[in-house]
Amino acid sequence: MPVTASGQLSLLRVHDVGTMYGPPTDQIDVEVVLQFVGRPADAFGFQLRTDSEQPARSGMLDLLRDGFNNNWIVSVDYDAPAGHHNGVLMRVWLTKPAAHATLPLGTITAAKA
Amino acid sequence: MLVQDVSPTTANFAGALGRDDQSVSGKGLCIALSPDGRRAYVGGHSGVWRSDDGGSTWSHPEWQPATVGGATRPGALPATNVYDLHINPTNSDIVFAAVGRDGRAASVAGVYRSADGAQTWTQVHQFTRTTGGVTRVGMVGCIAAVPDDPSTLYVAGELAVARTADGGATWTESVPDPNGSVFHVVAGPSRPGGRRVFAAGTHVWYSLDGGVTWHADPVAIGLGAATDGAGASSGALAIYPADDNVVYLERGDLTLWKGEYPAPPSTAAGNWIQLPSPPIAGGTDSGGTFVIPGTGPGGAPSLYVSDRRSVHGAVQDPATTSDWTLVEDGNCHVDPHGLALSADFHQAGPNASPPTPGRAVLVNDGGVNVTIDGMRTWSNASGLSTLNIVNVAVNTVPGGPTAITFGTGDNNGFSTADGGAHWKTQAYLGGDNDCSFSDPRQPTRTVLFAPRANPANVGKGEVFLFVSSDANPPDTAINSTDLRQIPGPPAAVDGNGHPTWGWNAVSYWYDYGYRPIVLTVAGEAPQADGDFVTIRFTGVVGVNPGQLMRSTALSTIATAADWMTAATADGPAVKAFQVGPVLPDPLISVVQASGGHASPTFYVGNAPPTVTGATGSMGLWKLAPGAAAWQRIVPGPAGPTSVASVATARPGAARPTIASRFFVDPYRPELVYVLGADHVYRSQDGGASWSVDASLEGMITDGGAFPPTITGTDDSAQSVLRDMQFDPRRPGFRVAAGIAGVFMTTDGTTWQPLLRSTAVSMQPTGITYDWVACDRAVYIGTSNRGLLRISPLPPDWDFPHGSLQATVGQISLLRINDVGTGFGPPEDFLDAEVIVLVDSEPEKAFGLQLRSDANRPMADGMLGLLRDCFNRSRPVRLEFLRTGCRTAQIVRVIENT
Repeated sequence: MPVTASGQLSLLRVHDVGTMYGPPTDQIDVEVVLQFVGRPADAFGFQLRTDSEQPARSGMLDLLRDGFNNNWIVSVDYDAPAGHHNGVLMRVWLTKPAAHATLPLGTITAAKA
Repeated sequence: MLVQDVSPTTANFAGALGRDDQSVSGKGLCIALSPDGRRAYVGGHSGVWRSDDGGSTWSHPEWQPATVGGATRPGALPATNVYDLHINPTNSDIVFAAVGRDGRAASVAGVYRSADGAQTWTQVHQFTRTTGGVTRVGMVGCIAAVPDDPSTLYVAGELAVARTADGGATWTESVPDPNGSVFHVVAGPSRPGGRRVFAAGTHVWYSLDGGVTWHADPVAIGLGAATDGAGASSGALAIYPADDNVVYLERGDLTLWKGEYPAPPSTAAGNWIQLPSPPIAGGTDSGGTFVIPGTGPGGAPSLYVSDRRSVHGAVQDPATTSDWTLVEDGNCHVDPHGLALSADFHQAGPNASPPTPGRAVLVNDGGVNVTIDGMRTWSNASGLSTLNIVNVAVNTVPGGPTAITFGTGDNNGFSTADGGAHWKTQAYLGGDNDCSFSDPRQPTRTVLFAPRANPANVGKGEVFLFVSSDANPPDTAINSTDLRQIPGPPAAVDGNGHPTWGWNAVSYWYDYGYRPIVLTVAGEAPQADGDFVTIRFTGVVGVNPGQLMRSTALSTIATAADWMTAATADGPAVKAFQVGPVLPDPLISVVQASGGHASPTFYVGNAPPTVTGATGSMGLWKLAPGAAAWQRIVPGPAGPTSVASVATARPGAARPTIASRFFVDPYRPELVYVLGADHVYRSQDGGASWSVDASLEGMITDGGAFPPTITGTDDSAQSVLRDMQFDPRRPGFRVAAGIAGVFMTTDGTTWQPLLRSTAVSMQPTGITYDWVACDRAVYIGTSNRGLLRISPLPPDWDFPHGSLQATVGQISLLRINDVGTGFGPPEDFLDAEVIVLVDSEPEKAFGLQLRSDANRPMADGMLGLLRDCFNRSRPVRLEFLRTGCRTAQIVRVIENT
C-alpha cells in the first residue's frame, strides 16, 4: 500500500545508474532522489533509465524541478519496507488552491473534431 | 440528467407465469371508454393514463419539466390517486377525474377536468366542511353521467353530492344526510317531474328532483368508498338503463342487491332483493366490486360484476349462481377494478355471434385487457407502466453489467441481467413479492425476502440468497442455480395466538426503515458470506422483546433452529449470533447498521405498528461498538424537544421527540436523519445533538404542503421520508425520497429536487443508489408508476462516452505516475501517466499517456504546456474524449493568454 508524503523539497539529486542511495540496510536503487524539508532522515527516489518508464520518469523529474524552483509543496506516493527511511516513489504531483473552484458546468463546450 | 422509465415492457419481458399471474402492468382502479370505443383513460395510483386506440396501447401524459428537478409544468394533476373517470360523450378530450386520498395538509382532492385529453387539469370542485376552524375535504370517489345531457354530471364526494349542468363550470351541492357519508351516485334521464338520482354510502338515498332534495331509504345496505384494494370500486352502484327506477349495488362483501323503486310521483322507498352472487372463481382477492349493465348474448340486457378476482356476466336478472358465466380468459389478470363498454358493445354467446361486438376494456391488478369479439377472447394492453414496486436491488460489476431485481404487489417479481434490456420472472413466486437488497461492494450477492416461501413452514418465511458462481451479478430469475433458500427463525405468534413471522425480514418493516445488510465501507473488504442483520421475535410479537441477530455466514443456516443460538459473538462455525442485550422495547422492529463489518453501530426503532396492532413510542436507540447497553437517543435525555420555527432554531437546541422514520448513513455512523413530529432533524454526532434540516424538510414536504406525519392516503406506510441513500466516497452526497418526490444534495446541506412526484404522477416507495455504475444512477420504485431511473448524477457528465468536449480552467493538480498505475477507482479507472485536475470540472480527471511510443513527442509537448500553465497560473483549455464517468483522455492542450 503506497504511502503519501508532502512538503517542500530540501534536496533534489540525480546520479549515475547503479550508484544507489542509502546505506546497505536501507538502500534504494534509484537515480533521482529527493528529500523534504523537516525530514532529513528520509529520502525518496525513482529510476531514470532508458526503459519503458523513461518518459513518465522524465516528466516526474520535471515536476520535481518545478516544485523545487518555486518552493511549492510537492506530494509523492512511495513504497518503503517497514522501518526503512528510504522509499521508492511512483507518483509525483503538484497542487494549487482552486482559483475559481466552482465554475459552472456551463464551461463545458463541444470541441471541434 | 435524464428520467427514464426502465420498467419491464411487453416487448422485453419473457415471463414464466400465466398472464393471469404476472403482467408488466400493475393496478389500475378505474377506466373510462368513449362511446365510439376509441379513446380510453385509466386512473389509479399514478394519475391518468390515456389510450387513443381503444385501450390497446397506453401512454402517460407526463408533466416533466424542461430540466430534471425543475418545477412541475402548470396544469399537472397535483395528486396521484384517481378513483373514477368520465369521458364527455361528444368530445373525448374532455375528461373528468375523481381525485381522492391526498396526503397534503390542505388536501387537493376534488373533481378535476381536462379539456385536452389529460394533458392539463383544473380542479373544478372540492367538497369541504369547516367545523371548529378545521376544514375537512371529502373523498371524491364516483362520477355519474346522465344519458340525455353530456353537460350534466353528478359526483359523490363523501360530504355531499355535487351536480353540474354546464359541463363542470359551476357546481351545486346537496347533502343527502349531514350525519352520513356518500361515496356513490348514479342518475337517470330527465323525466317530467324530475330526474331520478340515487346515492349510496353509509345508507342509500334517492332523489326524484335531480338531486335537489333527498329521501333516505330505510334499507340497511351500505356501500363503502371506492377502494385502493379489496372492496367496492367506483362502479359498485349502477342504474338500469332501460328503467331508471331500478338500481343495482354490489357491496365489498360480494353481496349483490337490486332495488326497485315505484314510479314517480311516488316517493316511497325501494324494494330491495338480494340477487345470487357469481361463483367465486378461485377465491376472493384484492379486486374491487362493480356492477355494469350491458348487452349480453343475443342482445339480452345483462349485468357484468366482479367477485374481486374475476368478472362474470349474466342475463338480467340471474336467478341462481349458475346463471353467471366467467367472461374473462387466461389473458386477464386477477383482481378487476373496473369495466367499460363501448356504446355498440354486444357480448357473444355459445349460440350468439353479435353483428357488432364493439369493445370492452377491463382494468385489474395487471393493467388493462381488451376484447373486440364480445368477450370471447381478451388481449393485453401495452405501454401501461403501472407496476407497484416494493423496492429495487441493483448489482453492478465495475465496468460490467447491471442486474436489477424487484418485487411487486400482485405481479410477482422481475429480474434483469442486462440493465433492463431483457426481463424475466423472479425466482420467488409470492404473488405479492417482497424486498431485495445488495451491497454495492459485493455485486455477486443478492438477498431477497420470501415471507411466503415454503408455506408448510408456517410463519417462518425464508430469505432467498443468490450467490453468483463467477464475478458477475447472480441470476435472480426463476430456475436460478444461484439460489439458496435460507429459513427464518421459528414462528412467533401475534396477539391472537396465530403463527406469524419470527423475524422482521418482511417488506412491512422495510417500509418503516429496516435495512438488512451491513454495507462495506471504503477501505475494507466485503464479508465473504455477507453481513446480514435481523430482529428475531419470540413469543408474542410486540409483547416479548426481540433480539438483534447478525450473520456473516448466511449460506450455512440450514434450519430455523440455527437462529435460536445463544452465541454472542462471531467466530468459526458460528452461523448467527446475538448482538447486544435484548432490545430495550418490545415494539422495536426496525434496525439499520453503519460503519462497516469490523465495528458497526446499530440503530433500532419502534415506529411501525406491530402485527399485534400496537403502535410503538417511535423512539430510537443506538448500540455503539463495544457498548454493553442500548442507548436511547430519541427522545433524548435532555434539552428542548421542539422549536417554534425553523428560522429561529438554534443548532443543537432542539431535539426530536419521536422518530417516525430514521435513516443512518451506512458508511458514517455518526450521521443520522430523523423525521420527527414537527421537523426533519439531522445529527452529525450519532444523536448527541440535533439540528433541523430546513433544506431537506422544505423539499420533502413540498414547502410545507405535506405534514411530517401523513394520513389519509392510499398507503398506511406513506411518509414524506421513505428512504435515503448515501455515497461511500462522497460524504456530502445524499438522496432522499418521499411522497413529494426524490431529492439530492451534493454538499450535505443544500437539497435540490431530482424529480417531483407531480411531474410524473408518482409515489416513490423506495430508492436505490447505484454509485458503482457508469453513469451513476438512482432507481425509483413507485406505487403503480413502474421503475424509474435518473442518471447521470452530478458530477458525472451528461454528454456521451467517447464524445469530444472541451473545458477551460486553472490546473489545480498536475501529477505524473509510473506506467500502468493510472488514476481512479476500478469502476472509473484512467489509464494514463499525466493526470490533470482543473477547477472548472470538480471531481473530474483528465489524463494523457506518456510512454515510449510514437506519441511520445506529442505527449512531451502537451506536458510542457501543462507545466507552463500550472507554473504561471494561466488558464488551460483541455480538449478531451470522455472515457469514463468522470475521466477523460486529453487530446489537445491549449494555453490561453
